[in-house]
Amino acid sequence: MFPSEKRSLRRFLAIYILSTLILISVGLSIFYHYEIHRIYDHQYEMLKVKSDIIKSKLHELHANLWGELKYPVIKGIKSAVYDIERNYLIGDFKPKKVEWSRDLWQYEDKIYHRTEVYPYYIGAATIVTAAPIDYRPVYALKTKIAVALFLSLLFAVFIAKWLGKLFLAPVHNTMELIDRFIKDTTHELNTPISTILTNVELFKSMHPEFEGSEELKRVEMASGRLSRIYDDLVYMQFKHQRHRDVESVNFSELLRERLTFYKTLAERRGIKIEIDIEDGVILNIDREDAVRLIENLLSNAVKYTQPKGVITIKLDKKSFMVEDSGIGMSKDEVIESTKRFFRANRSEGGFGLGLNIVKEIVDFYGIKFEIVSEKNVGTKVSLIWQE
Amino acid sequence: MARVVLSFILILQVVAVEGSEFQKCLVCHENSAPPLAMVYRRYLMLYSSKSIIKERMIEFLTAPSKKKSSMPEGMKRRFYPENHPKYSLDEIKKSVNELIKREDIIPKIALPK
Repeated sequence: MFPSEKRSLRRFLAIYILSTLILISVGLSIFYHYEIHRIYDHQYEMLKVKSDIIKSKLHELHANLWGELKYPVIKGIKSAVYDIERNYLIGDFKPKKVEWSRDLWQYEDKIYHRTEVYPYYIGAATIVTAAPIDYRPVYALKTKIAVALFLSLLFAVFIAKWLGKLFLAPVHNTMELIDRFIKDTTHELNTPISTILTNVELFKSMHPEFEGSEELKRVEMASGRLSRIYDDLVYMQFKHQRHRDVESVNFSELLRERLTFYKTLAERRGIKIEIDIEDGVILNIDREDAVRLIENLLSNAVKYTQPKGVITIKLDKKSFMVEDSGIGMSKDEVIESTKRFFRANRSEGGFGLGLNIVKEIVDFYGIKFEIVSEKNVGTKVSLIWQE
Repeated sequence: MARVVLSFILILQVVAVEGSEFQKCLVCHENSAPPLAMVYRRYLMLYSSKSIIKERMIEFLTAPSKKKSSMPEGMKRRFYPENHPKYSLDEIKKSVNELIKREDIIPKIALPK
């Protein structure tokens, strides 16, 4: 699976699972509230029935003029009676709190029921009954909901993965085709490029009189550009397999060496290059990575700068900066510029791999990478390795 | 005629009872009139709180009449005397207080242990 595919699949999974989770949570929450009310309603109903029994017992007590008077006791509940002025009369408990405006309420792990009585047997105008809340059905309900949530999520993950793969299959096939095409192209480019470069060198040694000829220079430049594209493609193809040989590289020397070629190229396009290179800038970096950094930044600057434009190159102990007066980029383009196959201008050559390669390298070495650009003004790319 | 004689005898008995106002009530309510326990239960059933019962009893006893009596109609017809004795407000208050204290049902109810 390609990294972009993985990213898309991960995003799809996240959105799908999150939305499913919200949907299931809402459903289960409604179910929970409905069920919890049903559980408590059942317990309240039981309490109401027992309140009625107390009521009839109070009637018996009231009618008993001469016999022994015993307060009615019902297993599992407690009761208390109040007169019409809400004075506590008697009971097998005294409630801490009576909610006179409600018939049913909960307080400290107990459910309460208040019922009004008339006629006022033994003077009782209100009977308050209480029973401990039976939490067993609540726990059973919570367990049921947790299991349902877990199973639903499991199912959602399974469905999301299956759907994701189903939807990504055409994209996967297309990307695989492109990837295979690039690999094949890269492989096929190798031999002709090497042949051209070798033969140019051979031709120059055999015919020194053509050393400075314009035609030969054009062939050299064109093949050099092809060679760099090939190098970029190879770098992208084998970046994970390549072993980096990190060593102390004289970045100043390497930059000057690479500049000789780009200077010629820039001069031919009428572009002025201003150079400010501090000597002895040493970086701990793989030489090939350093070459890719320099080549890609310089190549982009030359490619996107109009004739009579200026390219400024600055290197010091802390940073490396390439600034051009080229076509520039919008803010959105700057964000997109480090992505693979991004090209600021379709009329220019290349595969749009340059800044992507630069980003990969700077990320590996922890170098700070800054792009400041303004449309039709220019672009400034900075690599800062030391604050 | 018999009722008039009975009432006369009762009034004489009431006058003869000295000291306790409440005893005057008992003269009738332990003999011909409904027992005070029953009267109190009737008031309790109708008015619930002691303060309201007290209020209603004083109201009745201040100007007793068959109409103002809180007892059931059947009982009124059978037991209500032609001339309910009248007392001073002070006597009435004392008697009512004593009645409530004596007949209060709540302290008589045993709570479960």
